[in-house]
Amino acid sequence: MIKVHCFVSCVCEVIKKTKGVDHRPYYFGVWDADFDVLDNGVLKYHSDRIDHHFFQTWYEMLYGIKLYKWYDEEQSKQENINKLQRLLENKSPHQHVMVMLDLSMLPERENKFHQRPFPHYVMLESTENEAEWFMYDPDFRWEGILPKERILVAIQEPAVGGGYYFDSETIIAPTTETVKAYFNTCIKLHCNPMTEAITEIIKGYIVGKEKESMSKLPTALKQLPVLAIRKYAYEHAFAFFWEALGHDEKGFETWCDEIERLVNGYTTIQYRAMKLAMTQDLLLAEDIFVKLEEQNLLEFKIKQGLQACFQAWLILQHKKEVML
Amino acid sequence: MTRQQLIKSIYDILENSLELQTLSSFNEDARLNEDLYMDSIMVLQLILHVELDLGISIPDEILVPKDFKTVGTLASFLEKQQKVEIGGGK
Repeated sequence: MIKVHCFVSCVCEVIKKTKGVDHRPYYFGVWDADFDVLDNGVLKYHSDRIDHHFFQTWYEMLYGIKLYKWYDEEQSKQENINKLQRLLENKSPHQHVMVMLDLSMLPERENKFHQRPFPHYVMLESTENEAEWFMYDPDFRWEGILPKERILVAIQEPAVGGGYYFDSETIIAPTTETVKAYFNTCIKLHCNPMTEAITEIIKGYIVGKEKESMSKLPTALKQLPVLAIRKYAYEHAFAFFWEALGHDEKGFETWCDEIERLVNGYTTIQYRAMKLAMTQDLLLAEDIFVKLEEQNLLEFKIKQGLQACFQAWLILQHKKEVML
Repeated sequence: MTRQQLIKSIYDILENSLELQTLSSFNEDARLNEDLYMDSIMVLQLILHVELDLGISIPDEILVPKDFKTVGTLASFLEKQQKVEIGGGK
């Protein structure tokens, strides 16, 4: 399965390891997950204005697992690190401890986005060696032992801060009613927030208040690849409904191709924006807006397709309930 | 341009325009991401320089990651693009 969101990947790992409990519905919240646009028109996948409250709440509603936030922004970094160490020392086998760190501080890790800083959630466990921790990074499918001091340096970076723990002993499979409620909460059939935001950013750099800084447009869209891959969450949802409905594999593949086209479309937009910034040729702006509109229509089509699957799935669930 | 000239041009762009620090690992089999430590944006910067500096037109609708896996696959992609251009001019 494709990993698309580090927070979601961390909490999903335990669900994936539990037989009879499906992690895929949790990804409904990912395709339009929160992002931020700073006052100077810079797109950010993470900022102080974003918390994970939405995912925290729905994790509990779907799977019965309460996520506790142990990191306290009101306290100093050192106090939070002390708390982390205590949590790891007293952790039961069912407990999982997540922490946000700056992944760019651990250069031996393959960091395909090369973001600096790179706020990223991982899970930690103590080892028999006091100087080492076991680091678990489901989002990038990496696990291994690293010197504790090096991990602490990555946590100490001022650009990052955050942490949760949870106990997986109480895990339950999501009910039809919860999946239905979550899907209805997540599916935005009449807006595509990210494409809308990119359109506004580009307008801002062409005719708006950032027009004197058009050369900075590529920097404003630098984090687009991190956000674009969130659209792969649609695949998880299609797979979940498809399997339940017993549809043929080919139809699923067709939707995967459309999702791939959507993700790649953002690369085209990014490329055109870079070209516009470098050449200052305003004719290129037209091509960008055409592509953005295509992206909009394509995503609406994907959402409509998914909505149809969801409706069919609901009917199937109701039939099953009647038969019981 | 021949394949060797294309590879030399890629090297020059990486050295002069992108000021890449990892060029000691440069060779035809070097992977742009894992060996040269280029992220997806840097790869796009490289392609953009190829298009604007070398005049090889790149259809941006088909910027497919597999074409940009290694220096060699990028060179093959550019060779193909040159042929498309020549073909289109006939």
